[in-house]
Order: sequence, then structure tokens, then C-alpha cells
Amino acid sequence: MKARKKSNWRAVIIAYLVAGAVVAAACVGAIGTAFREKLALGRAYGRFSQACAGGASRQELAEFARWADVEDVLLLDGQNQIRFSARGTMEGVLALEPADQQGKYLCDPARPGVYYHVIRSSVLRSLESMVEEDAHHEFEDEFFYLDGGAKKVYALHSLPNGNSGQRVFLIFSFAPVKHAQLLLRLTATAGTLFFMLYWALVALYVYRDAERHKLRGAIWGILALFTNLAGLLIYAVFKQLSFFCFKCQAVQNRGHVHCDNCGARLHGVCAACGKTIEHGAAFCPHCGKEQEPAEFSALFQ
Amino acid sequence: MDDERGLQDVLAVIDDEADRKCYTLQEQKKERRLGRYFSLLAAVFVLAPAGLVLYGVAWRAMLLPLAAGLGIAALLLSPVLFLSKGDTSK
Repeated sequence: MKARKKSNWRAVIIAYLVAGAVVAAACVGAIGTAFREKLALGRAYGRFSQACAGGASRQELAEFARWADVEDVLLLDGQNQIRFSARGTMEGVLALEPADQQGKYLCDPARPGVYYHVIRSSVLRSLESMVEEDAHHEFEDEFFYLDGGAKKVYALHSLPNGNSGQRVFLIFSFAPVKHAQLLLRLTATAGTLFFMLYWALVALYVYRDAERHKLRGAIWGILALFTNLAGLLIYAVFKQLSFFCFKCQAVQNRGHVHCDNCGARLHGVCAACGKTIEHGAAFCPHCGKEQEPAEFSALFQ
Repeated sequence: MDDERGLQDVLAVIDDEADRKCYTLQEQKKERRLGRYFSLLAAVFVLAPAGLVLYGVAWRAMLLPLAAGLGIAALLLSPVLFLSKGDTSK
């Protein structure tokens, strides 16, 4: 009989988990490195918004304005008069009005060619737009191509500065992260690959196990490939209800005294009626004769 | 006469044996073919979604067909489970 190489599933699972952990760590590391400035900006924004909630000083506004993506930080009073510009780019009144019919963009008539796209909730929201290399120009593409271009669109976020009645305006010009899209796509691909490897491993386990039990491995494997856990469950229930040779694991008819694959003795025979009985049965299920343990053991020698 | 009958018997046995062998070989061939299909399908199952994601298809777009497929599979196979549960005969 051809010897079948036994699968070491524990080693396979450990190798799969280790490889998965290594790839996950590499992906997280690569993304963390690529996005480190954006993540730092996000954390800085968190601290800054807390400072604003308690009333931020001009020094704090100026510190936040040092971040690479921050174009300027303005402090406006109730009449939209610019009281402070961290980078000194603007002065006077900031009178914003809708620039398009949908109200997606705002403009200041005093500053022609400059448009604002409002980020309503959080700076981190805009991380998505940083991913795409093209997203940097997304606003311009969407709205200004027909207008001949040569216009600048900034992201604008405002928050109250304590209870002073003043508002802080954050003006961003997000620079895209280099190769971010490729990096995220590769990470998603690696994740998908590992998930589908798990999927295929479940099917492979069912396939190999069915082959070991002399069942039609390919049929069971394909079933598990399409149904995954449901197929595995069905296979487990099938196995639970089936009877296998203890020696070669081939599936057997329960009435067999000997295995039809390797010839190993599967059942004993009642000394009284001569019918097959289960191993370890205290009484014969056919005639009711009590089976002597010593006599019963002798049957298997 | 007896020799001829004996020969016929032997031929009949050989004929049966040849048919059996043919059937066994066909079954083995079918098994090998199914095994190859299984390997091919497993490779497709692993590589196709990963390839699609690499190509640019959002992985989130695959969640719905995946969940639907699993749900339908569980639904279709559930009668087998219920039938199996009832069968506890040894």
C-alpha cells in the first residue's frame, strides 16, 4: 500500500500565523513610516483643539502654524476681523461667501483666486484625501478646470477659542503622502491574500483529511472551498457519524469485522451468538450475553 | 466439452476482472482530475481576490458577496446538518 505523507497541520498553522504577523508588522511599519508626519499632525491637532477649548494663546496658535501642512492659523473676532495671523499671510476682514451653487467651496472677494473647502469635523477626516497623489488637486480638478485653473484651494477648519467669542481658523494645504496609494493597496492585497490563504487552508485540510479517510477528497475539498466553515462543519458532522479504521483511518461500514483497506480487526465477535459486537461492549447487543473482559480482550489479540 | 466450458468460465472471469480494472482506473483518473480541479480552484480562490485588490478594486466591495456566499452556503447546507443530527444510529 502506498504510504501517504502525513500532514503536520500544527506546523502549517504556526507558519501561517508567523508569516501573517511578520507581514502585518511590515505593513503597519511601512504605513506608520509613510504617514508619520500626518499622524503627528493629527495628534498635534488633538492637543491644539483641547487648548482651543480652554482658550488658546497666540503663542499656541503660532506653534501649530509651524506644521508643514498648515498654511496659516487665524484668530477672528465676532465681526470676522482677523486679530492674529500666525504666519502673517492675511489681515483685515475674512468675509467668506459660497463660491459655487452647492456651497462646497467658499471664497473671499477680497482675495481673488483663493478658495476654501470646509472640513467640518476633524483634520483627521482629511487623511483620506492625503492618500491619493491626485487628491491634492481634487478640489481644483472638480471645480476649477473649466475656469482655467491657476487658482488655489485650501482646506479650512474652524473652532471656537474658549468662551472669548473669537474663532480660530485653520487653513491647510495638505501635501499628499508619497506612494501612499500604492502602499495601502499593497497592504490590502497582503491582507486579502492571507485571508484567502486561510480560506484555502480550510479546504485543503478537509481535502487531505478526506483523502486520509479514503473518502473522495476532491469533492469534499471543493465543497469546503465554496462553503468554507459551513462545509467544514458538515464534514465534521459526517465524520462524527462515520466509523473509521483505528489503524489506517479508512471509512468503514459499521458491520465490518475487519478493515477493508488494511485488514485490521475492527470488532469482536460474541462467543454465544457469533455476531459482531463493539469493542468494549459489556453485553452482546444481539443476544444479551455478558461479555467477559478477559474473553473480550482475547478477541483482539 | 468440459475444457471448452472451463475456458468460457475463465474468459468470463477475466472479462469481469478487466471491466473491474477499467472501472478502477477510470475512477482513479477521475479522482486525479478532480484533485487537479481542486488545486486549480484553490489557487484561483487565493490569487483572484488578491489580484483584484492589487488591480484597484476596493476590498470592501468583496465583503458583501463573501457574506452573501457564506450565508447562502450555510442556508443550503443546513438541511444536511439537521438530517445528520437526527441520524445517531451506530
